Amino acid sequence: MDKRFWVLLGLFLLMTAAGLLLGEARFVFANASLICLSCIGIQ
Amino acid sequence: MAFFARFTDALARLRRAPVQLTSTLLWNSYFLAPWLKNVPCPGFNCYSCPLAITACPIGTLQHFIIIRRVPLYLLGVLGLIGTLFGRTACGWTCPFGFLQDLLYKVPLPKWRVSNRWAPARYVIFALLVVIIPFIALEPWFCKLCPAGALEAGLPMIALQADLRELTGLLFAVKMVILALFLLWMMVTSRPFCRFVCPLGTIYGPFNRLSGMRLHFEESRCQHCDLCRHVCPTGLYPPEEIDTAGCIRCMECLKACPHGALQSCATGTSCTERSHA
Ligand code: SF4
Ligand code: SF4
Repeated sequence: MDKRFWVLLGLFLLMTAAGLLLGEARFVFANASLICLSCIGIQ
Repeated sequence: MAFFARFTDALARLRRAPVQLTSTLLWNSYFLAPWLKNVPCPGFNCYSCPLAITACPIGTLQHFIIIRRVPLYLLGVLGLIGTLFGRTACGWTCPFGFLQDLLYKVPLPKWRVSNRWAPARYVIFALLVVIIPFIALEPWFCKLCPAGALEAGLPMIALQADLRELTGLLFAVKMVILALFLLWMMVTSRPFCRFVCPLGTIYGPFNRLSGMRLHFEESRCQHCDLCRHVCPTGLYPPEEIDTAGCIRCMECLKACPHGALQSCATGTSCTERSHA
């Protein structure tokens, strides 16, 4: 078994869980739901 | 780990285009699940596309840099995808990768570009995704992004007349960048993935660490070079399979008549593909 794989898996699972607990999914949703003028090429 | 061996082997037996088409439709089926915009897309897909169902990871990353927050959730999800599958999303589910594969089929004289320019994508990532947005507080990769121009700029301008009046120099620059990339994609295989894509830049290093692995078995190689001719990223698979530039499309595994290129999983022996 590759130890590095399990360490990375654990680390990224923790990061995801911590981010979710801190409510980051709401920031992601809010940003992705706006019409991004930069994406369109305005400004 | 048996899962990865089985998954990789099953993937290697599939045709890629139908999987790419299905994922492209899935990531752009807003009417199915509009609430999924809190999930980062595994591929490169503009979230301002009127049909996009998920969040563009690169746009999201710049947004967090601008609001001065560490994007734990976003980096966690990208890290999980990378740790499990490496750059497989590039070869199999990325809509912009699929577009490049399609455009390269246009019968035009081809222009092979050396991979020695591939490190340009690290510079682009550092400057346009991290440093400039941090200083300027604006998402400068998005402002120049050809995927945004194609998936959001053109449809939004077509759909909303009032937006048309707001277009100016930036829109013109964006259109020129898009046109140049579309032309380049017709003559060079996967140029955006190889030299520009910030998402591929994030996934790349995971190829050497992920659960899923691809492997070259030297004792089986007959040096026929068949694999070299099918690699969409211009790699020489016996030396470069599973390096950061490999999008794990598995075209080389399918092309090798001697089973020298194999799918495997971390910590296990590799599975030779059957060529029956
Ligand atoms: S080395 Fe093989 S799996 Fe990797 S990109 Fe090239 S053809 Fe695809
Ligand atoms: S196709 Fe297979 S046998 Fe031929 S050069 Fe490539 S790896 Fe070696």
